[in-house]
Amino acid sequence: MRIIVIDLNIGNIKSLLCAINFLGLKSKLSNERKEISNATHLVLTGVGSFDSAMDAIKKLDLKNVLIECVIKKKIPILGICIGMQIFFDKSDEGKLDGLSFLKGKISKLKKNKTNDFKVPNVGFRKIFYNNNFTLFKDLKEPYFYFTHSYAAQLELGKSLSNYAECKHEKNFLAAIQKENIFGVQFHPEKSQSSGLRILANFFKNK
Amino acid sequence: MKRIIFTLLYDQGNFVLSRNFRLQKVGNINWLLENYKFEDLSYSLDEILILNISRNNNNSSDFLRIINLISGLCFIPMTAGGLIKNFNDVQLYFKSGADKIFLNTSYHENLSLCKKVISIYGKQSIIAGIDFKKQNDEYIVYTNQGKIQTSIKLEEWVNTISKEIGAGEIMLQSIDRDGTSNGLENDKKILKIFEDIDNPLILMGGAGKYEHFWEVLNNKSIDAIATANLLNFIGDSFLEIKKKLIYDKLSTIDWDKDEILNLKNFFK
Repeated sequence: MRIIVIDLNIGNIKSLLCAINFLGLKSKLSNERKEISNATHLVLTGVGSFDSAMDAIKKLDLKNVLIECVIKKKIPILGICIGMQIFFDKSDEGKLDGLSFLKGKISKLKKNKTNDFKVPNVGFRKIFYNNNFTLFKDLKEPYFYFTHSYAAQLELGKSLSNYAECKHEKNFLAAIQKENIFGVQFHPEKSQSSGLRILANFFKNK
Repeated sequence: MKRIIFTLLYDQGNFVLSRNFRLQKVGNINWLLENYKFEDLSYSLDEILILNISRNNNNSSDFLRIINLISGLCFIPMTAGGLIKNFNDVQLYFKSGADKIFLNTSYHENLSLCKKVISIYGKQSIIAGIDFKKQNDEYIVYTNQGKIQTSIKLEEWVNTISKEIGAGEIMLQSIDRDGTSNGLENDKKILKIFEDIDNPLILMGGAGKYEHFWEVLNNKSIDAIATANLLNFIGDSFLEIKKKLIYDKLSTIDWDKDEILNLKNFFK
């Protein structure tokens, strides 16, 4: 395996690298086109806004190599948090276009005081998925750590192979899959055994 | 989901126990990892808070090294705080591996720092801490590691932080109850303050037995308990508390420690 964690230089990805290492895998942090192109697995993550992520992609001139790897070569890619959001067309949060690997727009979460739904959505939340979704195979506790104010709405799941749902004022997509493209809104590296299980399942993909 | 936040208190190279804010050395990082088996314990925790309460007021690079080490061992959110004097300190804590930072005295003495952190990292990146003592029938706020008494009432200060300045979560720490294992300060008066507050509330100070956790986390207003009572939670005691809370129908997650061990070196 050649795992490349794409280095957008936004936010702390140390925990993610430690998690991958814990599983007994070697990974490399890189934004070099050649290395990304030769990867067997790609991970795209970051902490920050939609525009700051897309801005980083632009500055590092990564859009074309990502299209080639994801759409043409169909290399398995896992988008985490903002990484998942930029797979889509656009976001309420920013002005820039996303990568458009997936159709739809990321929306802002809304508060609902009577049901205790707050914004930002921070903490461990239960998610719901069907048994076909291989990313969640053998999962013992369906709880993951979320920290976000924007999300992909449920209706965007219609054109996808698989998705997982999380409750909020309007339920949103906690995780998605379309062929080789995987995305999780939560942080697997902050979700104890559950998060590690998701990462293990992703890296099992060939 | 209700959370239990495990707190590590760091003083000049050692982890300490605190009782009414007076410190007692327990051991250094090697003790924590080898004797206390912290890594193993961490697989059952929800969240970690690590505070630099060094009494020499020196914010050393050793603390950063500790944040770095511990954040590399755990797979849960970690908050770091203590002795934060400027934005550079904040950046260093994040770069070392913290997911959130803890600010207390800064809310009194360095408002512009709090606002800068909010504007750059977002409100949810901050846990705002408030230390307090009971005085007659009032709760009064203290600053600077509990050394300075203010004239501010707890209720006032919670509202100022929540509604005027801004924060992610708010943590109330009782100086009276700290380290006593006598139970937390969850008076009706404190609960009432939070009825009107949007921020998640964390209580700290006095947790020692199962009953303390059950009683406090059973309140709608309280989201989490933080405890630094290291020696009370050796071995499986923590796991047992979690399991019992679930058995008694409290919403908390029963992390499967064995599941993490199963996944260690899964691909080797």
